Amino acid sequence: MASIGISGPMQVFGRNRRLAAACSLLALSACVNPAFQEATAEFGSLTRQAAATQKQRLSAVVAAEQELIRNRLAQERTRLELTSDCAALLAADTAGSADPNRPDPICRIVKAGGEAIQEPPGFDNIVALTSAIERYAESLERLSGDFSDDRAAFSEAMTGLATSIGGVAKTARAVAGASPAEADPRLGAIATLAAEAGNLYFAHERQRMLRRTIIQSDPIVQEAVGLLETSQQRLQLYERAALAEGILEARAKANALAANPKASLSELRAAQNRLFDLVAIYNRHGADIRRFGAIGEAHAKLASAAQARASTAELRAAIEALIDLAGTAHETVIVIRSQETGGDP
Amino acid sequence: MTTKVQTLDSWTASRNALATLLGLIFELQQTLTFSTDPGSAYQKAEAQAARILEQLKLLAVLGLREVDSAIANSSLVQQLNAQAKTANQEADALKTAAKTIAKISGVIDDVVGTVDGILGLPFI
Repeated sequence: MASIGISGPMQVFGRNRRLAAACSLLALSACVNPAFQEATAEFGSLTRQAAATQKQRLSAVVAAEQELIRNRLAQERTRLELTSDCAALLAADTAGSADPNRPDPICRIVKAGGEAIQEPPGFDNIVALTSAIERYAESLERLSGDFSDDRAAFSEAMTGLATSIGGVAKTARAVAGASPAEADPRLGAIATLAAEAGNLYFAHERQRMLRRTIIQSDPIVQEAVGLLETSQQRLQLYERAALAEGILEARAKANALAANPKASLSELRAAQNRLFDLVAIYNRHGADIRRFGAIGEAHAKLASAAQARASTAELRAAIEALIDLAGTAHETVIVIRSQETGGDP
Repeated sequence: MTTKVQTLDSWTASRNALATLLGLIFELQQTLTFSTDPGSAYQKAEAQAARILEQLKLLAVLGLREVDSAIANSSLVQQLNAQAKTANQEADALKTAAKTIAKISGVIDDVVGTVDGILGLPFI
């Protein structure tokens, strides 16, 4: 096989570049802070949990309020009637109305005389804000998250690139009349180096974007978690009041049995146990609920960590990474040219 | 503009006042003779306690409605959605950048294939 090695001053230049590239890799890996990324991912998962719980609790309040409205209707022995839209719906097209200004009729139940029945509260905007903060947390998780797929894809692509470049060189040599040579094994080494630099560069970029997003979003997040914390406080009151109602009911039953000499001891024990259990649940309520206030504090800490690390050193490392990639590409070109000419560059 | 719930202080004051009243009823019931008679002092206190709990639930729902309308009058949802969208676009851009390398090697493979094809022609 013809020698296509790099020699003389260019060899020294090549070694220096490789050394510089290796140093830059070290510098770049030092500024990719896994703790920061892990903290962000943790923030994301905590926020998602809190948001999911909040939505469930809101749905429970809506369901309970609806139950209350329906109970009242029954207790008041309200006569229920149908609106004329119930008939109009029979004649509506199956595919729904094509005109958004004239939506399909909706069949409604009303009180006799046409009075509307009270609707349970919807809290659509609290749900929307909860979903928005959930989406935001998910996007942070995505940015901070597992980039092993990127790593694998990038390393594979770089190896593929080296093989392809080797193929070009082989063909070019054949066209020039020289005997076809195998791809230079050094191309593989260069590809490995480039892949590593690329992976670190992408990790670094993820972190940079993450920091920027967190810093920019902090005032909005703080405002949102403030409102969600207030809604959580009100939800808590609703839930505790409902539990307290259950306690009063259980106490009334237990005391009625205690005052009744005909009631058996086991009956009374069961009723009193029920009261003890409900009081224990009442005391525990809310202890396991992830507070939005705490999530806001965690985000503020992330924001200050992000601000503290957004230094010129970081920027320099990013530039070094870019130069590094460009340098490796330059070296690759030199090797290809040397192969094309069948000798030293 | 910061979104605020206007009646936060009065809401908290109402909640605390109702909770204090309920506490007084519980203390009173400890000293009263138990009776199931609806006209008895004990049962009257019991009815008042139930009424307070109902009021507390109503206060909670009104409070939630207030937060809901404060959110509706703010642009917070849109702002948060915009931040999430930007972050997702950045994540996608990084993925695309990594995939570009794979595309480049694919193009080079095509070029090699074409040159190999030309080399195979009988007049070369």
